[in-house]
Amino acid sequence: MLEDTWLLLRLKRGNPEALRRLYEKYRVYLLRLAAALLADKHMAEDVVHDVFLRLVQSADRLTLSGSLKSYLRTCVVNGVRNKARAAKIRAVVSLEEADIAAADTDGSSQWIILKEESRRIHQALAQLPDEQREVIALHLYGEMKFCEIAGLQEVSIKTIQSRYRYGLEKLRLLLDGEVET
Amino acid sequence: MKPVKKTEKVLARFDIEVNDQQDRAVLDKLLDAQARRKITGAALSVFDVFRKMIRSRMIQIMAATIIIGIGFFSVYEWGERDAIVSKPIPQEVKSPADLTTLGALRFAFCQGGMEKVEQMCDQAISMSGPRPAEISRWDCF
Repeated sequence: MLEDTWLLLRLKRGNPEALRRLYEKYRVYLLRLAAALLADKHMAEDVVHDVFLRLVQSADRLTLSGSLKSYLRTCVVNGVRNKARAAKIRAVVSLEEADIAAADTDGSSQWIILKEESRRIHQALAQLPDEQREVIALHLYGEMKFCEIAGLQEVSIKTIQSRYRYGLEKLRLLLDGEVET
Repeated sequence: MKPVKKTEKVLARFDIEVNDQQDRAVLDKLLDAQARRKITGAALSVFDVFRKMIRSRMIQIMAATIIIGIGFFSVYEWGERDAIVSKPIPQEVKSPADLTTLGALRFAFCQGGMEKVEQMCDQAISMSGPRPAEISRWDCF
């Protein structure tokens, strides 16, 4: 937290080393969250790239009331929602489409690389309804509490908990073999 | 272990790796954007300072005070000037002998004709004090 404040101060002064440090610190966390939230990895990469770019461009005007991590996380969530809305795509794609998306993962133009097990989980997540996937991704990969997610989605904690439970149940069925082992 | 915990454990294995080449390219783009922003920021710094100054309430009050002050001062200055212009210029006091020299009378005639000459004569007589009633002022000369 203190380090983030210091880095942000230096970033405001246009220090490239501070940018490098912030980028290295949060890029994997944000990419993982964005990839879990979006079925399309290209879009997830775009969202994280845009978040960092906006951070650079508006650093001097940025005033944080909370932590930098939660700010970046909220930016990713908003970016994911905007992207999905703008493209008018369904966040849940079919397993075949997910396979196609995953097939070109190993290309050099890709930023995110998923290994076999992660790819299966990604495909399973992609089949969940938007609300359930968002709750699971924010709780497990965004390290958010249910009450925080409830505030973000503007619903009650009970609703969030039931979405989480139903989502996990569905994932358990989708990843049946792996869960049992 | 409960099914929920088992599923959470499996989901926790979801991890990503980043392509180093692409990662470096993205970072380079960000650094480039930062450098460009710095240049733009430097170019606009004077404007930004001016804008911030204008937005400041204190500066606005000070500017208003200065403008009002200048207004009052100029009005006062104008009034003073009028007062100075309207004030009569004190005339140089001369002796009756000086007032009635040929040169002085000729000069008075050039300035205001016979009226001015008469004025100068009256002045010379009044300066020389009271005279008997039977002596007219023309007898003095």
